Amino acid sequence: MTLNRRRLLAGAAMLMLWPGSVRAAPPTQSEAMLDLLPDRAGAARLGAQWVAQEHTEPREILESLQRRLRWSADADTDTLRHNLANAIAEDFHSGTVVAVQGWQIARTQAELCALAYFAAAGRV
Amino acid sequence: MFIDGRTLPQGTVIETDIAIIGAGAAGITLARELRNGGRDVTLIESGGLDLDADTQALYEGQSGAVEYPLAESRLRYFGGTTNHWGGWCRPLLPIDFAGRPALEIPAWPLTRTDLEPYYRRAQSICQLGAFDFDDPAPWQARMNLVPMQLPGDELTTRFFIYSPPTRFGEVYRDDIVSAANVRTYLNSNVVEILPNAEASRIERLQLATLGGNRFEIRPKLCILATGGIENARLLLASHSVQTAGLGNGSDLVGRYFMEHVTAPGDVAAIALPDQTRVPYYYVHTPDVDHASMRAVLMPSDAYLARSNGLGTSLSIYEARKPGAEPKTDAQQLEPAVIALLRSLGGDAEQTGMIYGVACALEPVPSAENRVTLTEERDALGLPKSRLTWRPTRTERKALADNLGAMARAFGAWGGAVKILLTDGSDWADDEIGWGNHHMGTTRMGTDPRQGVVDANGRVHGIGNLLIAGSSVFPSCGPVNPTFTIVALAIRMADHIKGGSLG
Ligand SMILES: Cc1cc2nc3c(=O)[nH]c(=O)nc-3n(C[C@H](O)[C@H](O)[C@H](O)COP(=O)(O)OP(=O)(O)OC[C@H]3O[C@@H](n4cnc5c(N)ncnc54)[C@H](O)[C@@H]3O)c2cc1C
Repeated sequence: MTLNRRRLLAGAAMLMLWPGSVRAAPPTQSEAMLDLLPDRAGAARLGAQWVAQEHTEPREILESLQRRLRWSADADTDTLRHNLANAIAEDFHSGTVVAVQGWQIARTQAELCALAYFAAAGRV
Repeated sequence: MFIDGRTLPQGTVIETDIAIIGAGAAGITLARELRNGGRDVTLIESGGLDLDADTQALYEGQSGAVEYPLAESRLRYFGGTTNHWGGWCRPLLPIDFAGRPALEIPAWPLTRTDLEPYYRRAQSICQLGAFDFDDPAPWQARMNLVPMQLPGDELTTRFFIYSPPTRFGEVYRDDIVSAANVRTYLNSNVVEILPNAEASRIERLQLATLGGNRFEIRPKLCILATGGIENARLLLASHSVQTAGLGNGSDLVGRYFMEHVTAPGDVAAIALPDQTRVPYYYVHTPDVDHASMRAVLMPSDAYLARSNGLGTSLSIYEARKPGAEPKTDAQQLEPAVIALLRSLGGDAEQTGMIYGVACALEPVPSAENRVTLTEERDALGLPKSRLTWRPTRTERKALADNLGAMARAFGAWGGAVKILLTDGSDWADDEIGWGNHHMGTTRMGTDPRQGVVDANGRVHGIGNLLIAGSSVFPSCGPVNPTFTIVALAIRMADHIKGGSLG
């Protein structure tokens, strides 16, 4: 909780410095989501491929991930991880699957990778 | 008793009750089942007891579409192609006999229940262990196996049991040699099957040896068992009376050739975040109670019915560490994919695993896939075969769909599947492999307009000509044929012994 408050505050500070990206979403959200990834650089490589084929933008990705991961400001990592597992299972169940160089991954996974890519590119 | 056809006086005429042409899985099974019975059996084999290059060359032919190795995918000596088969065995499933009109896959005039007792007898002939092909419970009891519990109902685990593999010509040689009522003519090639003027009964078989000897066999009952391509070739080449070929009144002989497409490489890779999830027996072949068994994944009957799909056997191979064999840049994504899978937690010590996936795909019978005769002749003067075979788009789509099902199941289980088929609806030439399974060219059907043979293997309209082997399969599921060939041969022998086939 404290951590999230701190992130929110940091986000507010960022708002002044970097309005373009923060218009997409507060960085705290993306940081919390990116914390789910054990290998951000690898995920960013996957994400780069998918973004290139999907032409998607950071704002769309964040909005979509907020929905898929049932984002709330006080959600801790365990809750997010649990929500991620559900979202992935639901994606595979409903056939919401994307292909990145043949790898069939859940759309939620692809979006997380895209987020890692945008973050690495300084776009969130 | 073995007799070398090359040593017979020119023009010899041999009378017999039952002539079996071809001593492979089908012919040897028939002769064994009929041994020591009341009837005189003559087994006719083109080759000797070992491979001979000139005899093997009689199998050479032409390809009309996919370049197919006609001579290499069969063996022409005592024991036939079982001299180098792989031994993968399992029965066809009930759904395989039922037919699927939407895909123009015809039903068999037999059910799995009809064949069940013969499959059970084939089990010991193919030297398999217990008859456990679909139920994991007995395997679980024997070796504490727990199958993968993949989510969803699209894939199911089934089992192949490996024959040692039984070399029919070695394992059953003594049975054949010592049977008082069986004479085997080696190095003896049937070059024409001659019926009476009405083509309602077979009267004579013309035989030739590579040395130029010619002789004749006059059977009361004749069984053609020369393999899935050669059965059609011999019927088409036997055109002295029926000009289109014996039994070919409906222009079906040679048509509907089927093969199991098995891509030459892997069709998919599976990434899993840890090494422990895929039980050993999906990846290797453990010996259990004198049998080797291998688990495979197949689309479930329910999924096939829903998706109008084709049966596919998906075998998982060769676990390796991710990135251990990076051949292309694309493969460098493997470690990233594994790491992504860990976003759900898991054992950080584990390096993850990559598995290869091979397939065997049920074909859709097509009249255009066929065996015909060429102008070119072999050393005995018989027209060579031309095999025109190209797997269809329907099959490719079904494979892609089934791999999609696999991706969904493994994805929901915490893994990821990489599909290695290229995009597009047509097969690329380098994606096409095959199982050396030659089926369908004298298909079974109750109606003579739709089948060359009836449910008992008798050629429509020719009372004393029977066909044994996979050429009679109207459809074939995704399963290797020999176990079914042997079961059908036992059934045919029972019918002969019972007097219902003449
Ligand atoms: C490399 C390889 C691996 C295989 N692995 C498997 C597997 O794992 N599982 C499986 O189920 N199947 C497998 N098969 C297929 C299997 O070998 C065949 O299904 C089986 O041998 C067919 O039996 P058959 O008796 O119909 O024909 P064959 O075994 O081919 O026997 C036909 C016999 O007829 C003889 N003959 C041909 N023409 C004449 C003539 N004019 N006159 C007299 N005799 C003649 C031949 O010499 C031969 O002996 C494999 C095949 C190959 C090539």
